[in-house]
Amino acid sequence: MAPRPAAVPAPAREYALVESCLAEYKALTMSAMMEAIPRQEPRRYLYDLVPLYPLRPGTGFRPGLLLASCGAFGGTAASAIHSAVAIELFHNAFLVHDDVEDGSLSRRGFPTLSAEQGLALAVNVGDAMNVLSIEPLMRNLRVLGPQLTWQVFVEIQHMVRQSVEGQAMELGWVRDNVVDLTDADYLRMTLKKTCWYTCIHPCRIGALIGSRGAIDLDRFNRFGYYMGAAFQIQDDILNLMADERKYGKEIDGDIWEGKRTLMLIHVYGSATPAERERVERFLARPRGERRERDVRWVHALMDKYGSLPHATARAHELAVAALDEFEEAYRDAPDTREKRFIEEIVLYMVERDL
Amino acid sequence: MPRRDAGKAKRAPLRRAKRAAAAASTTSRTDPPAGERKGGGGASPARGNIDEAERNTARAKGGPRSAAATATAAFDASRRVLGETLGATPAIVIKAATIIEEEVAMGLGAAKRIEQRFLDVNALRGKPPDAVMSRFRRDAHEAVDIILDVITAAAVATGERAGRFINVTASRAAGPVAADGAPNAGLRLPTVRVPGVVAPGTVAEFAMALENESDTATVEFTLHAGELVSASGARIAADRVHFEPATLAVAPHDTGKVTVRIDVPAKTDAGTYEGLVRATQLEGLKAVLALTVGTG
Repeated sequence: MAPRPAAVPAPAREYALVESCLAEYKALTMSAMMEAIPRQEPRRYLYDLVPLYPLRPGTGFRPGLLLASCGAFGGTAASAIHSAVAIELFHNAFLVHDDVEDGSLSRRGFPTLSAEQGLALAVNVGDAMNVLSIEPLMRNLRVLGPQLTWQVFVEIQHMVRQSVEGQAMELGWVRDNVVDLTDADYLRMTLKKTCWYTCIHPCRIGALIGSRGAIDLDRFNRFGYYMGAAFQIQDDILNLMADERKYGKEIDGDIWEGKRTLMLIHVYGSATPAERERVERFLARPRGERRERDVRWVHALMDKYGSLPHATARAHELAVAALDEFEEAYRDAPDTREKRFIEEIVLYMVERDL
Repeated sequence: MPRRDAGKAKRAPLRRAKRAAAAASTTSRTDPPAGERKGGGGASPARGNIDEAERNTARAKGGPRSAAATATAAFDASRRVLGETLGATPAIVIKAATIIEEEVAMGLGAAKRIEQRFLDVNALRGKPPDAVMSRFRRDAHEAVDIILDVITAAAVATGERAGRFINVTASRAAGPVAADGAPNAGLRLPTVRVPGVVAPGTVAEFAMALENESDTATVEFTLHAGELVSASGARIAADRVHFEPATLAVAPHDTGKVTVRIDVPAKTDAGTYEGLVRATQLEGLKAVLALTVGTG
């Protein structure tokens, strides 16, 4: 086997501002979210389980971006908090359902809800989170008035629909063992599955509220897309090489699950015919029938062809493009802590280790 | 999985990206011309190598920096290093720019359809708003007022969202229907607005969706625009407006995407310019193209 190419080194940087802002935004969001969870029966089988994922260690990118974007355009946290809570609830509902769909075993350092509580209860908790996310959007009416409330609702509707469409693409590729994919296929799936709800809509909704509807929201599309794609690629890379205790999910989990990551697409495109055939055979098996030695072999093949450095380089390219778009998207926002946070979080997303 | 055509639909963003890359190579230490980035234009060049001193100077103009200046400088330096490792616009960024253009153009139509499930905008706008309000408020209740406000908000949002969305077949049954949801009575036509304000001497570019809601494909038609005229009588010549593809047909229940490009002359006066867009073979497909030009 050829020598293992070195991954693109990620210089250690200080992200004190990003981390402190994320912690503040997360605390705000969690406090408001807990208020939105009913304190009534059935507790043991439902409402006590709803906060489990949100309370686990996590970065809180989405509410952070939304609240910061609102602040960058002059809005208050109070005006955006309901929307931030709604997005965080949707996000956690996605996570619960993702874990069921993928058969994942751990999430944020603990067993997945499905592993801990069983599939049926986990699916229902995810459903409950989706339902509970509607109430904060209704509360917007009092804070934002009917026009902005409606606009936020339309943003959320688009966000959720794009997310389920992207998830359907990814699940469909796995089910039908589609392997002949390109970077463009991956980018489109990632846009739909991740970028709209992780970056684009949080920025759009925050700016919408902060500016009271005065800003053309399309200016955030490219910024959020490039940042979100870089984020997702980094997430996929971490899945293969992070410290499992820090990362909180099983390492190589994406290979076990047959996820169509940029690295898998790259390795498949680089491999010899014989290697490709073996990759296809591996991916054709249901997850439960995949063997650890095959997972290791796929990972080693990625090392052989430099698939991780390839993906890292693409993530960095997208991050630079996002920084470029940041200049345009936030061009008329004054120089504030919130604006600086949004700019710095771009590189944080591609250099994070959890 | 279905393969996607990398043909016509992807050319425009690719060209933009190349243009942006070329601009970056000649003006790498300055911001790109404002118009490069207006109207949806400007697939992000990897403009990561912005001069740190220039950035700091620009910030200084905006007022005193906070105590985070030291961390900021370190961040800028790391960003510059990252940017300098890249050459021209990377292929993955060009692909991403193309994809987001396509998805946004298609999403406009989807958003319009969803909103129209909740309210019949045509019917609502077919009557004087005051009459509608009066009728509903006869049995007034606070809740009714709230619902009306939400409906009004929805109607406005639908109109805004539909600004780049044209129904190519609505005229067959009941006369053309405006993209903003209004019945096309008299001279009322859908208005396709170029997003933002465009600087003179730049090219405005944006995607427009053409939806065919009927059960049959349209004939092949060619889009053409008349000259754009401002309220003060200033004009932008018709040959400055280009459609790509210029000729197309839209399959039943499908949406065609057209990139509209307007080359705004350098000495164009500021103001809002409007002109008529028509299609050969499709009598009902008419729209007003509106463009706001800023000061140079």
